[in-house]
Parts: sequence; structure tokens; C-alpha cells
Amino acid sequence: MDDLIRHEKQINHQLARYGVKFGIYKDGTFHERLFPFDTIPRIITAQEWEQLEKGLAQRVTALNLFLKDIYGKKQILADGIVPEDFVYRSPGYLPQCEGITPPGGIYSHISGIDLVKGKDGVWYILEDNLRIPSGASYPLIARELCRRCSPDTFRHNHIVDNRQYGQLLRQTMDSVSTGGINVVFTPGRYNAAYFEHSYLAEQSGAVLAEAGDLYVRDSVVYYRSIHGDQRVGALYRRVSDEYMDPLCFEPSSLIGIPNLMTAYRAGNVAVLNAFGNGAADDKGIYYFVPKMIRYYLGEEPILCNAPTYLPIDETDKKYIMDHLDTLVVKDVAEAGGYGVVFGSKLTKEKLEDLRQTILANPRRFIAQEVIDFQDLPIMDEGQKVERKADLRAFVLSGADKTVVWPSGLTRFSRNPDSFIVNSSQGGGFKDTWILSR
Amino acid sequence: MDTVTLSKQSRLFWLGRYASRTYMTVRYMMKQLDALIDEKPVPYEDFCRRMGIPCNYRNSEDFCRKYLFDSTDPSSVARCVDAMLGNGMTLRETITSPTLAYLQMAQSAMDLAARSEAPAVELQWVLDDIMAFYGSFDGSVEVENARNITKTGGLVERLSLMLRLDLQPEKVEPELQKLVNRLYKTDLTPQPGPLAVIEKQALEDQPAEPAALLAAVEGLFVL
Amino acid sequence: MSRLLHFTYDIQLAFSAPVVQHAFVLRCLPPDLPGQQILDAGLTLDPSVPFSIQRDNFGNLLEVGQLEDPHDHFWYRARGSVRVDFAQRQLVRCSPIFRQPSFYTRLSPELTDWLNTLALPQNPRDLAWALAQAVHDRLEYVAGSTGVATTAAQAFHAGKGVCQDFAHIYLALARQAGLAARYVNGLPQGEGASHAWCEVWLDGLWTGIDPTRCRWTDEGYLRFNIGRDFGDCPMERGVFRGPADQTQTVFMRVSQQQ
Repeated sequence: MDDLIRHEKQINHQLARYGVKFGIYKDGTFHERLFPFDTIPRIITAQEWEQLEKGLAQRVTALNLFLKDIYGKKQILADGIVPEDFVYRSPGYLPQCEGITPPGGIYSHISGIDLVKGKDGVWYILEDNLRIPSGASYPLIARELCRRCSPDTFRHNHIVDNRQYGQLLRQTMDSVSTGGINVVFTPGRYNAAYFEHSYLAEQSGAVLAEAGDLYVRDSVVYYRSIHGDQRVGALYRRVSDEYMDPLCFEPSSLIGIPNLMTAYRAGNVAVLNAFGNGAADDKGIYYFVPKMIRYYLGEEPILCNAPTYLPIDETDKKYIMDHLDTLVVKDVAEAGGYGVVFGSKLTKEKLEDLRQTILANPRRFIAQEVIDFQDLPIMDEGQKVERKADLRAFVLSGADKTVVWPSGLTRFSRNPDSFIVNSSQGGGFKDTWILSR
Repeated sequence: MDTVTLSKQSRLFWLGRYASRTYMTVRYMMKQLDALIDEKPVPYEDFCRRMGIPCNYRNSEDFCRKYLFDSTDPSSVARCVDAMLGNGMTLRETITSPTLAYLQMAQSAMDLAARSEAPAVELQWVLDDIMAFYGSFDGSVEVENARNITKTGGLVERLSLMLRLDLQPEKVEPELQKLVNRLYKTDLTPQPGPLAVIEKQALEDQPAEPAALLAAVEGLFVL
Repeated sequence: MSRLLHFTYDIQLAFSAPVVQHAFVLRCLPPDLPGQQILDAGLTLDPSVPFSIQRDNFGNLLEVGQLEDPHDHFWYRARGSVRVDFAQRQLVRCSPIFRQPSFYTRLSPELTDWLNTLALPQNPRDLAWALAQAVHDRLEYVAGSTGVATTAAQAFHAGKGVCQDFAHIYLALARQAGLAARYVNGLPQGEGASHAWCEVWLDGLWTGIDPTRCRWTDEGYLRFNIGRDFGDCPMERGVFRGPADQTQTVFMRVSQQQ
């Protein structure tokens, strides 16, 4: 590992050479920045990974069954496991998807599950991302470049190769394809994750397309090619639901494909991920995921949620009221809400305000224990220092199998006091090693 | 898989034009930087007039700096490099990441040149990277049509600059012949009027006025 | 008594300049339903382009197509004969989504406060009726006072609106008061423009109520589409390329054959 640190400069030079960037908008203009890379990897032992792999596959399998259920028979609602209004009031729920079973029966093909490891050594799920989780391309290319710069490190450690992500993605698309080419659909060059869109298209052998390159005729999606148009079988879209079809969702969208929804409804194209997945990954539904696992799979959840309390439950409400100063409170309502509030950081008056707001709108909030993250070492101007970090694991679900990518995106915060590891906030990323023994 | 959309056609074409423009203007400017050493005046007013760009430069020194590196100047070489890279980025899955990396390196070399006391050293790297880009492009772009579109764009740009700046006039005719040969290997649709002018000179040896020829070269494709 | 209705529904879109790549979704044919039997129905388009028919998740019929070439107008005309017979209606289960607020029917504090001032009966049928009366009395019908994007809260604040706004405000209140209610558009017997009203789920039947006209619907109401609100089932939606303004002329007629 010291060898990697020694080669930090070369590795960063290589990353710059390959344009490993993300875009941000600052003062209304678009800038691209290199995504800072820290050479010290996060290391996950084989034994630890075995549990994570099983737990992640289990969780995503249940979430897919949940989506199929709520847009279909609604058994879990009828059985009272998940309250109706948690689903139907979720901004991610799309009634337009009612009764549509996507090709292969899969809704979340590419799931990004965010975890943290507590100081107690336990992995906690922080968040499920079932819409368009991004980030796989960064560790993918970083591994390639680290191997180039420090071959000894990879000769002497038993690290599971992670460079098959492109193939996994292709297999996932192929397994649900309705016949035709695979397309990665990007909002365009000035999207924050454009590097990723183009890189994943290349790695998976798909065609990169923007609005205007695709159109729908007779409920079939086509790619406009000079020599005759080609039918699209699988559409890995990196555009949010609401912008995908101006005739079904947001009418002013210029980056969508008019009448895509008719092709989707007719079962003539697989859309990855399916529309309407937001109903299963919001902060309110998170609470119910362990219950879903028990309900659909008859298994105990292998991975745990951060301990979460719902104010609508009387026992939970009492607990929240008694421990508000140590909990983190999250607003599950749409954007423009309270956001995320740490009780410990509030003044007495503010805490009281929050208490009253929760009591007045119990459905709008969840409360969680603050998890004491295990920090990871990073190099900061030649010094090894400890910083907060999380892990986004990628789970790929095709018609035939669910595979957990033996790697992931480890993000860390630059700021020693910050819990926020978001790349747009100046954070960086690390390679994530899964040891083979 | 021959999947070239209209928008991709345009990007391939402009990738060729911008790469060629970068290469030629960097070479041209390296000569001007050399002239500055001996305090020879750089004919920048004439240059701007011929290129059809606004002449917002105070003196030779100012021109050499800003025309090369000022990214707020839309006519600058720096902006041309950005446009070249931008087109390349949208074509990653066609030209492949290793090829795109050379464009990224050219841009990084431009950034280094901008901060250098002897920018010609780093500008030479820009030229090296573009040559490497051409080689890598040839080797990795499987669709012949796509390759030829970019090459056609490169020839159009080269001819345009040769005619504007009166560079190597004896080479105009062979370059025109190359262009005519190349464009028939693409599915680009040339404009009939300009094509007639170019073919007359290239194939029938009936030279046109330089201004008319330039207009024909610039108007050959609407992309 | 059942009624045999004959309808025509004409829409003329005119563009100030030619447009291209015009993709459209129309919902301007009534579906065949228990209680609403379609005897014959057809749609003609001008310029004449092929279209396909789909059913959306609410059971509405979608007529979908695309005009690629430049055109300066798009006219469509639906016509048909329908037998409406309330005796044929069937008891159905109610989807839970009609109990929840939707985009256009989200409550504002103003709406909630007003609802709390109303003295409302307990019985669902009486409640449904009392709300229709309250909305009808509170709101002024002013043609052109609101647009397609106006929400229930906005129209309520303005105190005026058209049938779509009456329906949205009614739905917002009814759902908050515990009823399952949904948005309906279609053509009532008569002449003029298309209309919007509501249905409330009472004793297992979707029962039509028209807050604009303050009445229960009868067999003279021809149902085209249902949804949570306007956004789920607009009768016409299109996108096109070209710098043109669009003007729309609508005319419909529903007459009873004896």
C-alpha cells in the first residue's frame, strides 16, 4: 500500500489524462473538475464481503419485489405491512406505471446502496438509490490506472478484479432487452456525470445517445442512424423519470423522447432503471425495507438499517421525544422541506420548535440514531489523516440473476468535521478492494 | 455496428476540423513566438483580417499571448482545443477512451503552455498529442465511414486555413484532390454549387479565384 | 332510463408557422365500460397519419402518433354513438390512489382552513353533495380566468375558475374529508366545449358529481377519461419542433337519439 502512496503523483496524472472529471454548476456556469482520488484503498476482507454480498443481494431482491407489488397486486399494502400513504404520497410514485410489468420483471437493474461501517464494526445501510445511481465508472477506471502505476501492489495482494463492470452492465441490459441495440441515454455533455455516461457506454459496448438521436414510431424506440434506423431493445437512461417523455411526464422537457412511455407500456423496450422506482427509495420507505425482506423472502435481513423511528408509531414517538437531542431527524416530504437536522446541533429553542413540528406533522418525519462512522485514512498534503467515508455498493439485477459488483465507490469528505461525502462538496474517492482470501 | 446519427456525423466532422485547426494554428503561432525573440513585428492585424476574427489585440506580444491562451476570447486556440476535446468527449464510445486521452493530453499541454515561460516547448507537446490522436483514431475507429467523416473535416479545415493565410499555395491542388477522393468515401452530402467549383479546380484544372475557392470550401458542407 | 347518445368532438390546432416532428397523444375517444357501451366510434386526423390505440393504466384510450413532415394545422375529429345505462354499472374496488392528494389537488392552508369551517354531514353521500354545493357557492365561474397549469390551491385563492378548477378543488376537499374521488373529463349532452367533473366512490360505485353545475351526473354525461387530476388524462398533448404559436378551436356536440 505504501507503494501506492508513493505513486500518488503518477496515478493522479493518469486520472487527469483520462479526463476523470465531474461537472458542477457554479454561479450559473458549467465547470469540470477532476474528481480527487486518494490512493489508500478501503479494504474489505473476504469474510466481510461474503456477508455484504449476501445482504445486498437480499435487500435489492426484496426491493424489486416491492416495486413489482406496489405497481401490481399491492399485496403488501393490503396486508398492512407498509401503510398505503407512504407509497402513494411519495413524490417518486408514478401512477402512470400502474399495471406495467417491465421486461424481465425487474425494476431496479442498477442499484446503488449506500453503507457506512460503524465504530462497532457493523455495516449499516444509509440509503437505497434505485433511480439512476451514479459513480461506478470512477473506481472502475481508477483500478485500471492503479494497476498500471503500482503493479507490485496488485501482485502481492489478493484483490478481486473489478474490471468486469462493463460486461456485467451489458449482460444486465441483454437479459432484459426486447431485441435491438443497447443504448446509454445521456442528457448531454454538460451533465455532471457525462464522463461516466460516455465511459459506461464504451465499456458495455452500448451506443451513447441524446435526445434527438432516438424517436418512437408505432410504439417502438429507434435510434436514428444514417443507414436505416435501428431498433432499441434496452435503454440505460441517465435522465430522471420526469424528463423522459414530455407527453407523459414534464411537458416542457426538451431532453426526453416523445412517446417513449407508449413503447414502454407496450413492452417494446426495457428501460433501466424502470420508471417510478422513486416510490421505493425514499427516506420514509427505508424504514420498511427490513419488513419487506421478511415479508417477501421469509428471511431475516442480513444487513441492518441505521436504527430508525417513525413518529406515527406511539412507542417510537415517545422514544423520539425523549431522545431528540441525540437523534438525526429527516424530512421525508418533497424538496423544500426541513432537510436533515442533527438534534445535537440545535439550540434549546430550535429543538423545541422541531419537537412541535414533528408532533404536528408526524408523517413527515423519520428519526435515526447518529451512527459513529469508522473513519478511513487519507493522505492530506503528505500527512495521513482520518476522514469520514461511506461506501456505495452496486448491485446489478438482470432477468436471470442478481450480482453484487465486487467493488464500490468509497467517498470521503475533505473537511474533517463534515459528514457529507458528496463529490460536489469537494469530497474525493478511493478504490475499494475486496480481498479474495 | 454502423451507428452514425446525424448529430454524430456533425461531431465527427467538427472533431476533424478542430483537430486540424489546432494543429495548424499552433504551428503558425510557434513561428510567431520565434519571431518575437528577435523583436520582429507579428502581422497580427493582417492575420485577423484574413481569419475573419475581431482584432482586439494591443501589440504583437499581446496577440501571441491572447490568441493562444485566452479562453475568454472565442477565436483563441485555447477555445479551439476545448471544442476539439468537447467533440471528442461526445464520441467516446466511437473513438475509444485511449484515443480520447490524447485530446485530453493536448488540452493539459495547452494549460501548461499557458503558464510556461517558454511555451513553445509545451506547444510542441500539443502537436505531438494531436499526431498521436490521429494514429490512435485510425487504429481504433472501426467504422470506415466515421473515420472518413473526421478526415474530411480535417481536410476542409486545412484547405480553409491554407487559402486564408496563403500557406503553401502549391499544395492547394493536391489537397483539393484528396478532399474530393475522401468525401466520396463518406455519406456526407456536399452542397452541389461549392462541389462544382472544387471539382473544376481539382479534376479539370480550372482554377477559381482564391476567394471563391475559399467560399466553396467553407460552404461545401452544412453541418 | 338508458340513453343513446351521438357525439362529435372537433379540435382544430393551427400553427402560426409550419412545424415538424410533431408527436401527439390524444385521449379523445370514450372507452367501453359497464354502463357505457360504445356502439361505434372513430377518429379522423388531418393531415392524415396513422395512429395506434393504447390503453393507459387508468383504462383510458390513447391515440398515439407522429407527424414528421412540415404542417401548419392538425385537426382531429372524433365521432360515435354510445349507449349510457346506469343500470349496467358494476360494483368495483377502489384503488387507494384516489384517496391521496395529487399534484393539482394538493391542499393549501387556505383550503384546509376553509374546509374546517364547513359544517359537514357524516354520511358519505350527503358529504359528497354538501361539498359540491359548498364549492359551487364559494367559486365564481369565469371563463379564461385560469390556465391548464392552475392548481386547486391557486384557483381557490383567486376565488374563480373553470370546470377543471371546480373539479380540482372538489377533489382536494373530498379526499381530505375521507372520500375516494377522481377526476373525469368528457362531453355532457349539449354543445360547446369539453367538460370536467368528478366521481366519488359511494357504496362500491363510482358516482358522478359535477361541482361546476352543482348536480349529480346523469346518463347524459359521456365519460372519456379518468385520473387523479387533469395531469393524468389531458385530452390532447403534443410536442413539436418549430418556432410557432398554437391556437386551438374546440367544438363538441352530444345529442340524444330518440
